[in-house]
Amino acid sequence: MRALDRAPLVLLLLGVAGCSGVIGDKDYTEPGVDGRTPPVPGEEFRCREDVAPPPPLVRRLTREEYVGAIRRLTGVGPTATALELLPADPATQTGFSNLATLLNVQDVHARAYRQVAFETVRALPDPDAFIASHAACRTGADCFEGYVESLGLDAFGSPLEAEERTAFMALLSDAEERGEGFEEAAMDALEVALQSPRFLYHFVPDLGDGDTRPLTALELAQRLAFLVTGEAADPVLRDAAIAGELETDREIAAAVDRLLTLPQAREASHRYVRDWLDLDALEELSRDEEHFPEWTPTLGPAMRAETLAFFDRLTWDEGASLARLFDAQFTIVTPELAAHYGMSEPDADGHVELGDDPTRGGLLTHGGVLALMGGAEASTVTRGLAFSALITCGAKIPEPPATVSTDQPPPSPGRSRRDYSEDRVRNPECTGCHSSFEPPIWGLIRYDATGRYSEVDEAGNFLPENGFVRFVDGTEHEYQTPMELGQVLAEADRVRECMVLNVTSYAIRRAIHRADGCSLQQIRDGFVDSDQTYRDLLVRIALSPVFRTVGTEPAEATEDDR
Amino acid sequence: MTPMKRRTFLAGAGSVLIGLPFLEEMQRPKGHAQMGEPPVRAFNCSFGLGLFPDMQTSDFTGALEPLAPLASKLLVLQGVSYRLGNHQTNVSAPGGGVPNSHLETTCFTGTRVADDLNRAGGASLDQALRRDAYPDGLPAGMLGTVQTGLAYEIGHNARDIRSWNPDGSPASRFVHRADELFDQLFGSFIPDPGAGGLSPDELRACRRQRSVLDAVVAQYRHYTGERSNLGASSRQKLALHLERIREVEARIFAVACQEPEEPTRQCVVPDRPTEFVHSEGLEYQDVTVAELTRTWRLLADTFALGVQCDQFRFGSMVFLAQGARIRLSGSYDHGGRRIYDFDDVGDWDAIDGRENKTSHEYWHAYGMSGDRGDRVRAAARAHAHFMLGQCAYFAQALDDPEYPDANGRTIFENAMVTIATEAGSGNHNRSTADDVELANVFHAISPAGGKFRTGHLDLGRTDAVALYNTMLEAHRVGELLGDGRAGVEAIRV
Repeated sequence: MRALDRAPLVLLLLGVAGCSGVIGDKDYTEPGVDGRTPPVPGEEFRCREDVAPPPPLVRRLTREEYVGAIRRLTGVGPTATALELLPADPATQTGFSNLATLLNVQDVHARAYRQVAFETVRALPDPDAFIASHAACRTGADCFEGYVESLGLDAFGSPLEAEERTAFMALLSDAEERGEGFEEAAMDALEVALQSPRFLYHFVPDLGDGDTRPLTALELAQRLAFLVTGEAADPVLRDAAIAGELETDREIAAAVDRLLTLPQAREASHRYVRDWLDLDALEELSRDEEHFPEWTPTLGPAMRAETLAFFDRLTWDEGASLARLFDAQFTIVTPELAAHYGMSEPDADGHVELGDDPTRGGLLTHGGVLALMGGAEASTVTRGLAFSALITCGAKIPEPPATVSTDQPPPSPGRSRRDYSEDRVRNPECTGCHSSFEPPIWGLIRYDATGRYSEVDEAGNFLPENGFVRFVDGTEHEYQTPMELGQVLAEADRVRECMVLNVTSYAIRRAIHRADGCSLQQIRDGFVDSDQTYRDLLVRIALSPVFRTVGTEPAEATEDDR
Repeated sequence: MTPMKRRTFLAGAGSVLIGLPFLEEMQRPKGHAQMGEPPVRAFNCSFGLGLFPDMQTSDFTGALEPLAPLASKLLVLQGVSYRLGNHQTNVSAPGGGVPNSHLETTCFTGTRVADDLNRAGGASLDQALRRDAYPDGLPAGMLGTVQTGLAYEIGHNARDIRSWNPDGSPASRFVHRADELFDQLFGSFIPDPGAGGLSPDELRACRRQRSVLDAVVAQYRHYTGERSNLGASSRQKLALHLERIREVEARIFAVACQEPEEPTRQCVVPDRPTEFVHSEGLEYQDVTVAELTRTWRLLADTFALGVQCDQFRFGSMVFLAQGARIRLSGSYDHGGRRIYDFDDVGDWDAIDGRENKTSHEYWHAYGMSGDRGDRVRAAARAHAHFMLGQCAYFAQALDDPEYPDANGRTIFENAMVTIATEAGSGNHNRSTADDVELANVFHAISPAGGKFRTGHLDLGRTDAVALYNTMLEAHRVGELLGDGRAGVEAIRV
């Protein structure tokens, strides 16, 4: 869905050979977001021992993670400089913004990290107390070493390496040469820590022979903490790791459960949902006055809040199955948004019970999701592509042949938006792909680019809303209403698999690889056998080999090795 | 070096208002420009879509007319192919299959598209030269790479980035706004503390900053060095971060802390523009000739000023990437005469009654027959003339004789300046071998200190990577691009 709101409309007219990326005798399968060939949709869960895992890669913290890490270490919230200087992290159409391959550093980052570190140290509310929390004394090199060891453990999640210790210790002698002392050096050490590679990046030693190795207990603690809370491990988790109490499945699951009780965990889950559906784009969503005179700047943020509140209610308040995201018959909206939808007035908590209303239910009928999926044109093509990518993890859709016009004619009297869509689905040259991603969202065709529901399109044509969903395994399910569409999705195995794929990719911070099949199978099977809650999914991921091990790479690898 | 004249900057700004001329002379670091040998530099300029074969004349007429002032200093190349750029790897020859239009990352790299438009297949021409010429980093105080221009801002690096690291990541961010570019180039200028040097407090602050920096850099060096416990991919990632740290910090220390060992040069910088037209990431599609020209020239002038002040030595400019999807209006004059009255909305309304089409569609409809086809081709040629004219403006800014290098030649003559398009004809609805977007990609290169000949050359079907590698070999670069093919000796003197 990402960026599709502003993307030009594209008509995809593809061959009859199915939508596997193969047209005629040509294979147009594209490399994935990390430049490596991804597994074919539908075969991600195939356990292949013969495929080497992708090389590991250090991953820079996202802007939000970085701000959170500073707050956790120092108690200082995001400075104005941090918010002003640090650019947003890149978003892609095919992956999450936290993927290691995308998180690069430009001059603006380097300048921001330096400035933020400088300002954060000077914004410490009580420098003496901060030093005291890491040092029992204030004199001499031994005392300073104790301080930097403690600071390093807290900042990096594991003890300092020798070279790091040496770099930190030089700060004390430098300070003394300037006629300053322990306190100044201690603050310099904090400033350094905030710019250190192990603070700005999430990584574990990955030099080796190309095989995988198990994470150490401290490494696993750090990875678990980032999975659940989006932050580094807290002292409780670190202590458990050091005490050897983070080894068995039961201990790991217990650690996940404890982390889920921390307030950061809810924020971290929001981060995933925002990234998955690109909800932050709603903050500044605009619609032109001529076509949407009822649009106001507050509707976009209200729609964003709707989807997050809906997720919260199901996941955090009710502990419901994630399948309910698609068919739960309630929503949580502001009065303005309820009026925009034409709903009844919400209660004091914003709750609106949808009952048996066949036109609303589940997050796919949220105005924000509809607005983002279809763009300003509410295009069935764009919505279908987003649906396929985000909800069903459908076949990779190749680029359209260049011989085809990329213009999409608007509806006219007698020719509805649905008619044009059905033409593409029936056309023998187009159906291979279009039948896979347009009919599933015919159930949403009555929603315009602001999420308002209407039985007719802008040319006055009646819009049927029945359709069918064809999954990558070939199974097909018909539906008559948006509510039935939601029920189909809630019951579909492929939708569950897609959740596993998306959350796992987000958790391991890289695109899914063919070597992940055994782990994915284990995660999926465990998830299916559980209550299928958010917690269940996190636990299954945390217990999987792909999460508990790290691939290694020789120091010098050639491009061919990758 | 002759001080920058304010009028030069204003000329580029067109009718844009800029601040009062509080010209301020700065002590700037420089490399060896005053030692008699021009520094190694490389700059790219590209524009959207491409030029059809019939536009690529050999006498600087038609669409190539804007390059005429540089005729004696340019080598114009036909027959360069981007076929290796196609990520559909089994497309073995131009026209063999359905080409994909996502070739932006092949421009200046010659290598195949790596992924969904966020990475390139390898280093770009300018960055390969940079890494070879400055293995230990650029001189202190200098920016690594600068990239700017007019391009859509939709989150895909391929839309605007033209300078790439060896791992396919962007060599720098792309700056969309003229004021931001100005700040990037000149924002960290700190006034000369005067003859008295630094005060004790300032000196102590500088030493403290240096101490902190050293401790930070030491850790990055450890994780990227021989004793690192990281594999090659991770080390490379951190090495790129270390480069950025060094560039930014060096700029600050070289100026604020007045490191005495740094040679200096005089450079006069005008005030930051106080009013400007910026592109807003070109989110809009309806735009006038005047708006585009004014914005581009402000960016190009600022870019050139940065080069003239030796603020950076490598970078790229982009004019309307992603297939130039605009609806242009307004009169376009060049050389004192009217070239065309742009009215894309009206033209398309007349051609097929679809006024919502953009200039991009002229390329697809270039082969249309009859009067409507004539109208398409006239508009397409005018667009091509206009777009190439912007890169020509950029090139001429670097060719300013008032800013000669130490050897008396202009920057354009000494540096490796490459002008190219993101595709060939843009006519990717044909499948004939010589008329698809993968083939006949327009290129023009500067003499690069006398290494390359001037005039016109038709290279037949030479892969871009071979051309680029030949250019790199002429600079004695050891690590070449892609598969390492070179051998286009015809371009060399």
